[in-house]
Formats: sequence, C-alpha cells, structure tokens
Amino acid sequence: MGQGSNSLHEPAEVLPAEVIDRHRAIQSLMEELEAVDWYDQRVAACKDDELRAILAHNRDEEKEHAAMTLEWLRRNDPKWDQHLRTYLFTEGSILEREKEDTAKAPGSSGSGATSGGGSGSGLGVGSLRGKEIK
Amino acid sequence: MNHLRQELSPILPRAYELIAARAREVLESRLAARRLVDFDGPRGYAFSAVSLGRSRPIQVPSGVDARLRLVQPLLELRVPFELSLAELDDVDRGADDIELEPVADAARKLADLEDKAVFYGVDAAGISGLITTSTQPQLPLNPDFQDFPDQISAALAQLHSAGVAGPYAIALDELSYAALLRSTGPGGYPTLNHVRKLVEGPAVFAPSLKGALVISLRGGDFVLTVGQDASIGYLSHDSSTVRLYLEETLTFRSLSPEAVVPLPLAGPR
Repeated sequence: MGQGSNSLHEPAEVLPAEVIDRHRAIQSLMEELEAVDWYDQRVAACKDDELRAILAHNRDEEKEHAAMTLEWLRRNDPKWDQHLRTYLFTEGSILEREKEDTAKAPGSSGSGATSGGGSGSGLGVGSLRGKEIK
Repeated sequence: MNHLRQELSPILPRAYELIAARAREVLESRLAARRLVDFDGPRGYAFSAVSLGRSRPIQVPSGVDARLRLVQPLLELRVPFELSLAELDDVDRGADDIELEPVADAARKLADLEDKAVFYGVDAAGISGLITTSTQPQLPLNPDFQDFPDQISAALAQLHSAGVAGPYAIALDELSYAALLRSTGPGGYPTLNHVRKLVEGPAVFAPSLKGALVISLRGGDFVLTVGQDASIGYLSHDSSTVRLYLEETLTFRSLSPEAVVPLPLAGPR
C-alpha cells in the first residue's frame, strides 16, 4: 500500500490482496464513522443556522459512504454477510436475537462452524480469491 | 429450521462440528476456481437467478411489443453421503480418530463439480466455462514441461496483446502441478518461483482442469455467483446410519473471454 495508508500490522508482502483490500475498506469505514461523530457534535454545538445545515448535510453524506463501504465488506467477507443478515433490519431485543441464532446452529455451539452459507447454516468457505493452497 | 433440516439430525453437537470442519478443510484445499474468479455471494438459498440485463422479443396478442427479461438460473448441486451413528457416538466417548472419509469424498466431489462448471461449463444449466468460451489461441503444453516458463510468457504476451491487465494467476492440473514442483531452471532455481514471478500471482492446484491456464486477476472478467454456499443438510437416519448431503447453488459467467489463455496438455498423457 502507499504511504497514505501505513496502518497494516503485518508486512504488506505477506498479505494476500484480498486482505489488503478488506483493510482498505475497514480503514475507510472507520474514517467515515469518525467523521459522522465529529460532524454530529459540531452540528449540536453550532449556533449559525446555515453552517449547521451544511454540517448536517455533510454528516449524512458520510453515513452514506459508511453504508456503501459496509456493503462492500459484506459482499467480500462471508462472516460479515452472516452477521449482518442475522442482526440488521430486525426488531426486538438484539441480545435475544443472538441467543436465537446460537441455538439454531447444530450443536448450539455458536462457533460459526456451520454458518455463512447464505441461509445461516453453511460452512463459511466463501471467496478464496488469490489464495494458494498452503 | 431451514431446508437443510439440520435440527432433525441425530448427530451430537461435537460430532457435527467435526463433520463440518472436515468438509470445510477439504473444500478449502480442493476448490480451485474460487481462487481465480470473482466471487459473488453467498446470496442465500432463495436467490434463484442472475439478471443478465438483456431481453428478447416474444409474441403476444396484437398491438403490443413484449420482451422477456433474460436471467441465468442457479444450478443446485447436492452430494449425498452416509455416516455410521455408532462411529459418531464415539466422539462423545473421546475418540479422536473418527472415520470421516465419506464427508471428505463428498466435499471433493462438490469441489470438483464447482470447478468443472467454471472451467468447462454445464450446458443443461446454461453455464459456459472459462476454457470453452476463451477467445485466446490455446498454447499446448509440452508433456516434458521443459519450456514451461517460455509457454507461460507466451500466454502472458497474448493477454497483454489483448489489453488484459494483470495481476495474473496460473492454474495447473495434477500432472502439470507435480511437474512444476519438481522442475528447476538454470542454477537450480525452482521453476515454480520463476512462474510465480512471471504471473505476479498464485500458482493454483486445479485437479479438475486438463492441463493449465493463465488468467487475469484484475477482476470483472469472470463471476462465480453462489446462492447457498457449501452447506450440510440432513436427509434421514435409521438406528445405524445417518444420511446427509453437501449442497451448494451456483452459476458462472464469463464476461471477458479474452482474459484467460488455456494451456492444454499436448500429446499422450
């Protein structure tokens, strides 16, 4: 990666391209969420009506960017896909949802050994792009 | 419960985890095409077709123009297998050498079915494979593999000429892969390392392939769409045997047939 992103925790040459791409996405998601938080506080504190409206507009655009990046992560990581399918757009207790999901898995281990297949019960193989057999 | 009906199976939790782990281990070591093409999914069991963004005219009663949207349906693959319940019960007794070869066999079969669908297509499912749709001239591999790097270079030159950017990968069948592993160039330098440097990407073991291929990994050229990714389902059981299956739904599209060069083995094998 370029000097603009020096946040890898392992040498870039030992990381597969898809891991580096996911790192880019996660880093971007973190930056977008941080920006949302900053704008949110500025909107709350700002006394000028026009500036406050601009800041709110900018804050909400960052939310769109974060959502797009999160969707990319979902499409490129079976575990993200599994967990987002479990928890997003549901109603009621989120913790109860977790208990139900854990109980559904054969063995009730919640280990994810049988998850990630698109119906919450796959083996979680997903993309192997660019990987050699070890 | 979903259509896999895992909850109805009499298999104890720890044994189930071993079965799933063995299936995953074999699939991850055997699947080759997923290392080479874009992976779209998993989109879920209910996902039935990929939109092709095209349509064709159809005849309807007078005065109306009608067109039918075109889609490519997903292919459902199921590989059944049987396990001994007595053997699985031994997991709870502490046995650590459980006989799981039927699971491994089924996983190998599923991996090979997926790879063959991607490499050679499945006519009945409307899938055209990488090799069968390639518009690049084939470069037959010499059976002695002596000029392997030269042939890879020629394949890369073809891709460059067609405006297909890298990085690239090479996939090899069992014979070619073994030959590449044992081959050395001038000074004893491993040919495998030489090839990796040439393609700027992985050398992938692809037992379902006949020969080898060089393919671009730039993305957007070949798409494997998976609905239900490899999963274990329950069929039935009696007092001694449980019948399960491995299941997957998929389809494959070759969007840029110029982005792969087939290298079939020349002459007798």
